[in-house]
Amino acid sequence: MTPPEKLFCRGLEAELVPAMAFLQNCRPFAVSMTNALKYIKLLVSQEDSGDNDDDVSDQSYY
Amino acid sequence: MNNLETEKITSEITAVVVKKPIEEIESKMNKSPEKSKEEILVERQAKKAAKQSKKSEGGEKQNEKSEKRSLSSATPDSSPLKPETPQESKISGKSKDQILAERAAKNLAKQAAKKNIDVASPDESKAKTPKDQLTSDLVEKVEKLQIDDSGETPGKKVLSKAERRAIQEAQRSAKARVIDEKNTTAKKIKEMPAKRLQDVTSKKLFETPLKLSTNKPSVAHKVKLFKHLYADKCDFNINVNQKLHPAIVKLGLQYANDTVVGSNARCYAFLNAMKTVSTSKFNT
Repeated sequence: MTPPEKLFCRGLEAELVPAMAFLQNCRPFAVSMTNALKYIKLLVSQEDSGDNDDDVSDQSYY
Repeated sequence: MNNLETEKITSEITAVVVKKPIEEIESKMNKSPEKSKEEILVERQAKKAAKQSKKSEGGEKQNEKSEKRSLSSATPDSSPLKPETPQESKISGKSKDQILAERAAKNLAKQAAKKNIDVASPDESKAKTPKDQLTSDLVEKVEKLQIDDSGETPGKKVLSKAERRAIQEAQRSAKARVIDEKNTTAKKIKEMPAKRLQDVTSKKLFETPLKLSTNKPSVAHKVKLFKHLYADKCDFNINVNQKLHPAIVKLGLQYANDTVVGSNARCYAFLNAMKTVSTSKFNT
């Protein structure tokens, strides 16, 4: 695990919050985007310190 | 064994419970044969008669005093009823009709007593204390005032017309004065030198266009649903302060510059950016 933090999910969440604020400022979120965001947050909270690729694969909507 | 014991206990309890009420009833029965329903009624009537006699004594005294003082016609109707009613109660048993009649008579007597007291008070005051004399004087004055007010109303009407005419004339004169003043001011303005007038007009001209510009605020869109689209102004200075992922910054620019348009497209782009962020997190 390249990031020094043991709990990676917390680091991702911490980075996610300001990113969302910036994007909202550029353009307000759509309803689909808010739902997707909630889902991502749920997955991140349920993470058990596994590989990040697993999370990404779950996120694939295409 | 337990069952037998419980049965014995219950039998004893029932015996005790049953015996007590029977004993009570027997005791009452032993006492009651002396008294009968008729005798009980007689006793009740006697008690009621005693109560009414006490009341009638006090009521009769009041009626006597009121008759001596007042000369009103209300009393003779009520007074005979009061002495009659207690006698009737003493003689015979009561019935519902009699009770109602007595109650009505009592109410009438109370009202008459109140009237008698009201009529008796001014007569008493004149005879007795100076304070009461003052009150009587005040009452007379009030009555006089009322009479005067009633007499003045027709006079007021006559005066009001004249007053109205006078008021109208005063108003017309005031208006004329105001108009004259305005004319004088206009004349003064005309008399002012040309330079001052030019300055005043120039000031006015300069002021009006500024006011016009400030009065009209930039109304981008009146509909609340679309206001957010026009009010947005992305401050990219914030990005410099925070450490945002480059993919997210790219996404934001695409949103602001309308390169990615539509909710579905934006959502797809957003998910791709999240994917890159999560994978690139390894690099830190």
